[in-house]
Amino acid sequence: MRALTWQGKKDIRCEEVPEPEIEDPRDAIIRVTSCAICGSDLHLMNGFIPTMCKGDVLGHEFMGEVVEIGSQIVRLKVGDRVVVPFTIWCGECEQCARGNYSVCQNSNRNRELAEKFYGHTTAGLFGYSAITGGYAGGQAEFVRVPWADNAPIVAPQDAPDEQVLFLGDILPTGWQAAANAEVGPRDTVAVWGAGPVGLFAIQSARIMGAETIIAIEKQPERIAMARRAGATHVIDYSQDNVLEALKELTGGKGPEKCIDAVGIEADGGDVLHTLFDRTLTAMKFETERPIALREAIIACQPGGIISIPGVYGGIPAFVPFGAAFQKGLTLRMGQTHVNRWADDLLRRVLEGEIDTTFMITHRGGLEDGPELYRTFRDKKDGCVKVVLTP
Amino acid sequence: MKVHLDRVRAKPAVTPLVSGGLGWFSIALGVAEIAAAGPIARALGLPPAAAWLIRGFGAREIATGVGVLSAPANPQWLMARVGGDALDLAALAFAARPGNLKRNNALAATAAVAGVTAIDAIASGRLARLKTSSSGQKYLREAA
Repeated sequence: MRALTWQGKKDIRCEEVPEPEIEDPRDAIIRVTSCAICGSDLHLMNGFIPTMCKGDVLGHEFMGEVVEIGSQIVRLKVGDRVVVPFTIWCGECEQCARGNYSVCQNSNRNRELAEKFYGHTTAGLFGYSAITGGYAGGQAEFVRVPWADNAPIVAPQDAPDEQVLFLGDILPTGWQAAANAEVGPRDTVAVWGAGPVGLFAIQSARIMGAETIIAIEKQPERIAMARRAGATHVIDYSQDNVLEALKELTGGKGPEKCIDAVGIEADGGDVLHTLFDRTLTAMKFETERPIALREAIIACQPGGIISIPGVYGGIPAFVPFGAAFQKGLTLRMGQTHVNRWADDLLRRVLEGEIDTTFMITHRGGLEDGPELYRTFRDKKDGCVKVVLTP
Repeated sequence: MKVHLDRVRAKPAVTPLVSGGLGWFSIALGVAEIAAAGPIARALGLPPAAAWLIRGFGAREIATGVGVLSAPANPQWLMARVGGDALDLAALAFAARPGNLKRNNALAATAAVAGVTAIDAIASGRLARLKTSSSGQKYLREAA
């Protein structure tokens, strides 16, 4: 079968790989009907996530049809249409019992490796390096889903793929970002980055009743989408100083809720700031560019909450932790516990409350994947979200 | 520690490994050329003033090496190396002139550089073909 594979830094290919097989009675095999390129796939592409191995199959946003099930599968049936969350969870450990699915204690096959990096294991993820289990991803024609009775979200047969596909990652990630920020009526929320997760965070904040939603972005097409998603104000960080603009928009108080939907590979409006971080990462003094996080900490109102759905994987430098401490900020972050939100979000999507398709700008087949990865990375041709049909 | 990898995976591609190796080789050679320009000039039977040329070549090697390592799948940096190799070969052709007492050293260096040039050219050619291997079909795009 064909799949998109990682063959080294900035080297994505569409190649032939072995087809998956049932390896455990709790497995299912899915024929992928749609998959997407996630912003965090770009971190893998660009070599920011450790322990990627040459030949790894990418992809953690996908859905499809169940074509084979293991002998212990009772909930799923062959023929079901499922959206597969990017987190793999066992349903038996303490963390799963608490609903903390993205830190499942059993699903990561390389838990020792994760423990060495992070102190404890985290859940297995599809197509996201050896440190999260080394599982083949879903940018492929078929994929094996472990513990398949737990995470997959059964979609109605008549719901178009593009309407429900994003339930597996970016929609619940944006929703969790707003929920972690405890967004409520009369809140002022600032969202760094109007990529797909930022757009869903904006939409979620609007649904949760935020009064003022400020998007921080520079790409014109993303600014337009941010307004459509519910942003009441936009700061173009290529034109304006973000901290000064936020003060001005909030009467000097700063937003009480800040969402960093950028993560590892931020670029600031200030060229020197960006160059500073690029130099530090090149020299291995830090592993990421936490420009949005630094701004969020400085901008956030004392007593406020910073929610971080943007992915961080290593060691950011010069994060103003003293400011976070002295202002009494609450920081919440982490990979998304998709199934904590999935049922509610599926209902909202099917009822039309949440628009999931407006951000899709590019479509193609798997063979177009390598080129579309570059298009997405370079934000060429107004690219915001890519959906692939294997 | 045993690290589990999925059986559903592609064979590791050779070209990026070669490209990465060339990047590190380029940096190492560049450092050597800058640090030992005088001895290299003497070994090739070149006049002492050629040491500055060799240092310049060393700086070029380091620059292209960093470029290759920053984007191992981009053929342009390897093509730049091919161009640099051509300059090396031109300088070595001068060193290999009849009458040079160190002519054999220069000929040996020429053979080595020619070998590396061939690897640079083959790797950049393979990567260039890879960049254009997409089907080229137009992507449907909705107005935002």
